[in-house]
Amino acid sequence: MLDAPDEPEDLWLATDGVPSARPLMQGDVLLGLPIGNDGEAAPGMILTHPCSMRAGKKLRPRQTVAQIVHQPISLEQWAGSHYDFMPLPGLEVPELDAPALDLRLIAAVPTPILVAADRHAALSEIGIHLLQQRLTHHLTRVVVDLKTFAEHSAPTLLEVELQEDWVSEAMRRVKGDADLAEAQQSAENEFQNLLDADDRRLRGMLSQPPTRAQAAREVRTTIRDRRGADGS
Amino acid sequence: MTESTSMTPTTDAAATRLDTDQTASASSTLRQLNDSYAALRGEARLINTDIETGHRTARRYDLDERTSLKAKRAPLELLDELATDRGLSWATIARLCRVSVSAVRKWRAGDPPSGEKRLALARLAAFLDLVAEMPVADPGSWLSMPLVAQYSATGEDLFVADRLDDLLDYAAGHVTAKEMLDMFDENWRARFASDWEIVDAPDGERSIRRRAHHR
Repeated sequence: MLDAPDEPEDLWLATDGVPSARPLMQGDVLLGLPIGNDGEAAPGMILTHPCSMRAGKKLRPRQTVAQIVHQPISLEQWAGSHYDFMPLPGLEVPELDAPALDLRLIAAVPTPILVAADRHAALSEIGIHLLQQRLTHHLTRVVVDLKTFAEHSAPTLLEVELQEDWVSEAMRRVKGDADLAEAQQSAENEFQNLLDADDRRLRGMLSQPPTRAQAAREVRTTIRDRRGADGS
Repeated sequence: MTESTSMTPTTDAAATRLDTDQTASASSTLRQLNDSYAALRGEARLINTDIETGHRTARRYDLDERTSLKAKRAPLELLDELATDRGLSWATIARLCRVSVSAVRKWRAGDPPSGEKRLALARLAAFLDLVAEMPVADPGSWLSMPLVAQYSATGEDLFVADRLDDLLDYAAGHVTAKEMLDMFDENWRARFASDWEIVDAPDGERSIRRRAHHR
């Protein structure tokens, strides 16, 4: 009834750390969050939907996360059982041989403890769609097909990709003695201002399939021009 | 009156015979015409099939040749072409090359793809070049757009299923989207049906809503 990935590795964008240039996102895994019993440190995954994470350009003060626990679930069991869990094969978490997200153990945590540079892993686009499908079903017993989640998330996920590329390129040009955090914040603001310019022209293009690729071309051409400008 | 009466059957018979002869002659001509056209249609169909097969073969050779040329370029150049010049997302590139997103991230970081995967990158780039020469304004967007309203099937689905010839026929206007999908999967309507639609919500974000009138 619910979908499963073809291969466990399809779930993951990264399992050995996530570049800090990538904005915080639903499906990011962090270790040591105060969400275990009595506030003990435990691994968790961000659940907040991308559309709800920010108010304008700023992250909201709190985000929802769910705890990652030990729960063996085979790929064959994804579709028809363990609806309270999102299996996480391929994720390496200390002391958890078979990690799975427990959708009953949800907490709200202060956003500042979700440090982008400390992320342990991040779900891929397919992984995020599978999470959205299981979470929706867990909360409502409604089954929505993955393609619908994919089309709904497409503008946000492309924006995340473009921001990571934009910020990575900006950070590559930062001189040695500069304040890295300040430089990254500046690059993030510059990117968001670019999307908002001309009455949110690029945002509008990202939201529609016929113009989405054109928006990506415009942003990436600027990145390439900047890379070429300093001869690298 | 008698003569006239006696003449009438003879004249009528002659007229009837003449009518019958003319009708038979006309029928024969029409039958021959019908047969000739039927034969011509059969031949035209065979010729058309031959032309289609020949065109597809020639186009496949063209695609192979373009792929070979692209494959000589560095993987990073190909990735840049697909992402920057074509506007594909990294996730889409991964899907169309049938690799994981993390594999594409590794290639971008300098890990070389295997020969097979490098060829997949080259083939995608060559395919989009070919599409760009057809009446398609933006091949990158074209691949990701729904083929038929209210169904989720896109060109990406057919590309992943290796239906490149069908996609190129569609791009060139030789077949309609529905004809292409019929050739791909006779049950495509059930396979790609969705009860959900994306709508703009009052808060400015997009929401998922059940379709009011489903097909």
